[in-house]
Amino acid sequence: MAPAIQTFGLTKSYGPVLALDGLQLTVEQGDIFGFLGPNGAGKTTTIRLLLDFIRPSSGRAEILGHDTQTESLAVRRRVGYVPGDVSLYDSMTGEALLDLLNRLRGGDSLEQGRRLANRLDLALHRRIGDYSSGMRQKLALVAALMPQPELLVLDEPTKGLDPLVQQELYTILHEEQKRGCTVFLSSHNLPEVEKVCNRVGIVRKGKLVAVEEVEAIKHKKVRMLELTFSRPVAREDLVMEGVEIRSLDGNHAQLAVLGHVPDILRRLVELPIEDFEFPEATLEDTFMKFYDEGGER
Amino acid sequence: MSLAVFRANLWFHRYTALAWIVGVGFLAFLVGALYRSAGGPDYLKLIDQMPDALKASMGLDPNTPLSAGDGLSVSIWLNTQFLSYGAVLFAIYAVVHGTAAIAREAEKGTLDLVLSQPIGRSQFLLWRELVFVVSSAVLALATALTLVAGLAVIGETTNIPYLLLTVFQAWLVALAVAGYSFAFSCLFLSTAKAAAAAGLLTTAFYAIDIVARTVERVSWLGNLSLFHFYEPQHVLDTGELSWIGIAVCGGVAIGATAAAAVIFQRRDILT
Repeated sequence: MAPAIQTFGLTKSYGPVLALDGLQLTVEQGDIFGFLGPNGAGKTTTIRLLLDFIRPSSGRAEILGHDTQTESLAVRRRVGYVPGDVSLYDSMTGEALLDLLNRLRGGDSLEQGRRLANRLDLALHRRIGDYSSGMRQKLALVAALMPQPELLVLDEPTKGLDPLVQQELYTILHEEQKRGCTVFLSSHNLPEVEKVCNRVGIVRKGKLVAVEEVEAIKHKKVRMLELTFSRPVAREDLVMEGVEIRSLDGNHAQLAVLGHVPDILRRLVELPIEDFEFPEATLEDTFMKFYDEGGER
Repeated sequence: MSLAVFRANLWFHRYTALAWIVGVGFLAFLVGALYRSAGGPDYLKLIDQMPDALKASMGLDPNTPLSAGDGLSVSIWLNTQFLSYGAVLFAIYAVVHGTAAIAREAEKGTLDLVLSQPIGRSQFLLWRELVFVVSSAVLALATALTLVAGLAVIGETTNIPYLLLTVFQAWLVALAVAGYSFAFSCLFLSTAKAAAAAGLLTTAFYAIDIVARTVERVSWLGNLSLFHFYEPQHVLDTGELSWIGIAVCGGVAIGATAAAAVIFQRRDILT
């Protein structure tokens, strides 16, 4: 069985700017693969190359065994896509757009589209121009899912969705996986990738720096912890294995926790903690530090 | 399945097309209806006294008989008041439609939506161009019919087959203009830049034609202009179409469309 996605030294440069540098990536069929990286890392460039919107400077890619350039139509017959910035025909209703896309695929999946829209609580009779950004995102998701593709390529798919709809989308993606669909999901949101993906590729400055199982990533994850003490504590009190002191200012400390959590908690409990907080860490904070440009540190 | 693209785009384009049809149709109707009141002896005298070069710029040969019976001939009136610039009107429509076709989709981001579906870029382009072919044909037909209707309300008529041939010739020029407008649209993926390029080229063609018609020693320049092959007075009077003109306009339309397809096929669609 051909991999869902395979790239061979895929490179894209715009003049002097190297947007993607020799990407070697394999996504097996049936995976929910998270493509993780900060903004500008090359995620969208990769997706646009896979869908043949842009052409590589060198290298090539295959989707489900088809060359993405020479067999682009065959690829698009089997792929559903949600772009990072959803743009739709504002003068159409949601229903009319789904009907158009259904006809373009020569399919009979409109009813499936209506079911999905209903599930995501999306009113199809309204003009797209009157939709909120969340509704547009939902419609784009419905359009991508409607033909029951073999590969779903989703570029930041939860942008603009409220948490309940996000949760529903994760459920749908797992259902799609059970159906046999592969999901390629680009994101800069690690918790999202953890929730939904089973494998993760990490891209940084146009280079793939790691491909890991999600479980492995979880063990490498940095957690941020902010502590407020009832009295000032000494730096030495916070020195322990697996803890990096980011800041210490009298009664207040910010820690990056990398080690075995139970051991650390046992040590912390001895300190005069008044309050604690787990601020949301940035992707760079949480785990980019594990990877340098050449690979794992 | 690609017919869906055609139908959808025809629908998207309905208001623009309708506005052009109503606007140009109304103007044509007015020209037809005003033949007797404005095209009287004074107008005949005015045309007659025009310098030959100015007459030539309207496609009037110095030997063309201006009057029919006791007044200005209908064909001279229709040509000088409307048809001599009819091809320019159609060309503007072609520039407006052609330059926006692909570029506006790219600017709005909807090109991603379409091109992520199993439809080839060339196929998409051709269906879009077919929307122009159909809407401009309707515009041309509506123009001819409203001219005839305008004349009819004052009890006048003209040779309808000859008028249809004249409008057909203007439509051919528009197809050629649309061809390179589509090519610029694909090349720049920017409506403004494409419109500037196509507008400039069309203006240059028109200016070359005027110069070639009015300055005899550079009349050869006319061969470089699409408008040179639009001869409304001659077609209205004789019903003869220039096969070279058909070949040139058709050739430019097909060649430019092929170029547009190649450009569109090869270029990156950036966000």
